[in-house]
Amino acid sequence: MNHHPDLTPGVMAGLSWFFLISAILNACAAAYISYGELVSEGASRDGLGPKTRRMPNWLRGSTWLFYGLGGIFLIISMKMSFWFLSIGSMILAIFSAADAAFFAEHDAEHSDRQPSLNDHQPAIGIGGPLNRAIVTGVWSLSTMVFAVMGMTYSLGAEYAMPQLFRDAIDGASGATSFFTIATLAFIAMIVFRKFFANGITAWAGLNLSLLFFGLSMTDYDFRDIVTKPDNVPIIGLIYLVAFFTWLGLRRAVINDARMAIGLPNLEELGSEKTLTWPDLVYTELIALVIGTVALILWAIALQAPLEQPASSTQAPNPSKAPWYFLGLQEMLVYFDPWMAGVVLPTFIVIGTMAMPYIDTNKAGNGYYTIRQRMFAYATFQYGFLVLWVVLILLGTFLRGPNWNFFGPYEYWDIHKLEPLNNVNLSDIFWIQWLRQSRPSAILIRELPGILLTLGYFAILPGLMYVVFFKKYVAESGIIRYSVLAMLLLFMASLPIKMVLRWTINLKYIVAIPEYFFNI
Amino acid sequence: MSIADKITDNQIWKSVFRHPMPTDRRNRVVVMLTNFFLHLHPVSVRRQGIALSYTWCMGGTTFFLFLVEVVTGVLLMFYYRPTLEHAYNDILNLRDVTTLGIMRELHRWGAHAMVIAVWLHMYRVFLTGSYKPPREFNWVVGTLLLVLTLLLSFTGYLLPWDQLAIWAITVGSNMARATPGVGVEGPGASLLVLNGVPLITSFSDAKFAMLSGRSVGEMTLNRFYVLHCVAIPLAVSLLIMIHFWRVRKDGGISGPM
Repeated sequence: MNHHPDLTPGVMAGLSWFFLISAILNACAAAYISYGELVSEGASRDGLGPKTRRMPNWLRGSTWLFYGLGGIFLIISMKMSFWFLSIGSMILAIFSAADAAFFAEHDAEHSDRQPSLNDHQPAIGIGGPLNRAIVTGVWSLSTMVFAVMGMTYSLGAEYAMPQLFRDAIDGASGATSFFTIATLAFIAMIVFRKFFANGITAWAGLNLSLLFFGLSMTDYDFRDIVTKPDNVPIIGLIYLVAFFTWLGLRRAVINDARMAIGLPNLEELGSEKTLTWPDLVYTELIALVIGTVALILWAIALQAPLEQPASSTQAPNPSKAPWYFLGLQEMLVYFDPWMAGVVLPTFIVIGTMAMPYIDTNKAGNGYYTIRQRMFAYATFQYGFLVLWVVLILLGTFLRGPNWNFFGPYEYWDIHKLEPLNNVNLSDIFWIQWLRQSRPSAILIRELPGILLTLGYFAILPGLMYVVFFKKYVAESGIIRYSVLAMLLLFMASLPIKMVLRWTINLKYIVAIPEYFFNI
Repeated sequence: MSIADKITDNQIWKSVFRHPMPTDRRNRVVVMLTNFFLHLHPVSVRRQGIALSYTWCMGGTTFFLFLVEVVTGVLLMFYYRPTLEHAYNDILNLRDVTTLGIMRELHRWGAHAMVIAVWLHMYRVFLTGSYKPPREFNWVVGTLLLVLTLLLSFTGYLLPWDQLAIWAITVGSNMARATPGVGVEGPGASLLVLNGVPLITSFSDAKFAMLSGRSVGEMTLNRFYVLHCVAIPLAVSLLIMIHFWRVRKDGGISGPM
């Protein structure tokens, strides 16, 4: 149900520029693959490259001309600037692809040269060579798609994400599916890390996300939430976390492959000393300038939010904590405030501080690696990416009035009703299983839950020790192991309670509301 | 004598900069040792230790953003009055009337960016295993800085005194009410009774201590203002000094042992 127009002139102008920037990114990627250095991350030191092909002078000239005119006209006429940049990008993309294809054909006829310039030779560990012509062609095609989308919006064509598609996404999304997919995606990322570490995969993912995000912005309800001023940094957070996760993953995959064949890791390659002045000092200066400019542009472009004056009687619905605490607020769905707001945050902080003392693995100090510290790597990353960042995204973008779940394109209807028939473990145990009323004595009533909780913290560490941690205890001692086990169990308690809620509608394992003691 | 020489070849200049331009090796070493701001750095560093693909530049970005927050924050303090009568209108004026009211935008977006930068910095330190010995303690200091950064942002969130501010703080501070033992709705609090008089009430619990009242009010504004502008920045400054000092003492930017 749409209460507001999906497309307005302002939105279409914004979208045309959004897709133009996506097109420019892809044109640059196509040119980079066609002409740029294709081996990286230590490969040149291993004698594998760099290999570059000269960009034709006329193409270089036309790119400078169109982008230069686009830059100048930015001040004079945005419309003109838009067309210069669009045409320049299309020319760059088309001829980069044509050039790569020509050389591929040329090379196929003279296939005695090895290795060929047309083989996209990735760094060690990132998989086999890829065909330069095909990759360039795909990015060039992406440029065309984005550029045409931008130009049609600029010319006034009105199209939006198909309603069918929006309804399908809204229908399929829920707190359960959102969290489950995030967890599965995380596992896939670790298992198939070689695939994800590839720049081609990452760039394809970026393109898909840009397409999805751009089209989603045609939806009024999506736009309404995403463009709230305080939510804008979180969009930045998504892309930054994704990029740096990819970068760390890539460096780790390359390092693991290098060390497996006896090569020094990337960090060891650059272990020679260099003077702080000028190398580091100038880097810092440049970072300072970029940071200042970026922050000023951001401050000019986006006004800080200021709502109505504070009123202690008119509570907004939903009332949300600042965005960085929304992961904790999301935990309130599954835990009482004393757990979600006090105990678990305390354990997060203590656990973070305890990490260097319980992670006694000496490998992986000062360089990226996954294989040498798989357990620590995966545990921390799951905690940060899924239990922290994903929950913040869920709490920010998908939780509406009354903290109900809303799909990304769903109107935040304040009257939306969600059946809440959650039951406590004591209800299940006494009423459903034993078919009798619950005992009145609190401790007896809650005995099943209490035993279960005690067993969770008392028996599981022993089981985990027998199955997984014998070596760790022998090396690091029982005290470190006890701390580690407690932290792991507290961390696991969140997904466990989530699953119990989704499967058997469990509210509390131990429910003693008389003393505000609910687990 | 060129103009550049005239500027540098006199007693005033030489009293500030005690050596020539750092264009040769000797002076590039000397500049790091004699300049107060540069002496945070060692004279030389490992090449990979300063590679952006390794460090992501996020620790430095965090510190840069902290400095931005200090400068813009001090400028905002010249203007903003933390009282129910003035707070909201002062912010309104910053938005609509005041010259350089953009300081508020810089301050707010810088704060958001700083939270993100701290996370990414810790993320990088974890992924490179840089918290491992001998840097364990500096990781602990860094975690404290993370907590203080979040508290800085949280206390600052209240100051505009609009609906967004008051209700975000209300939601956040409701958690304190549930603190075990010392929150009125926390487990165990109802057991703390002395001669039939409950010790933990809504006038004496953790939430009251945090808000200086039973709900977010003028005293909360004052309390958060002092925390935001004085108390937490002082603590952060101290910890930053320790953090930087320990980076040097623990062997500089991390790298393969």
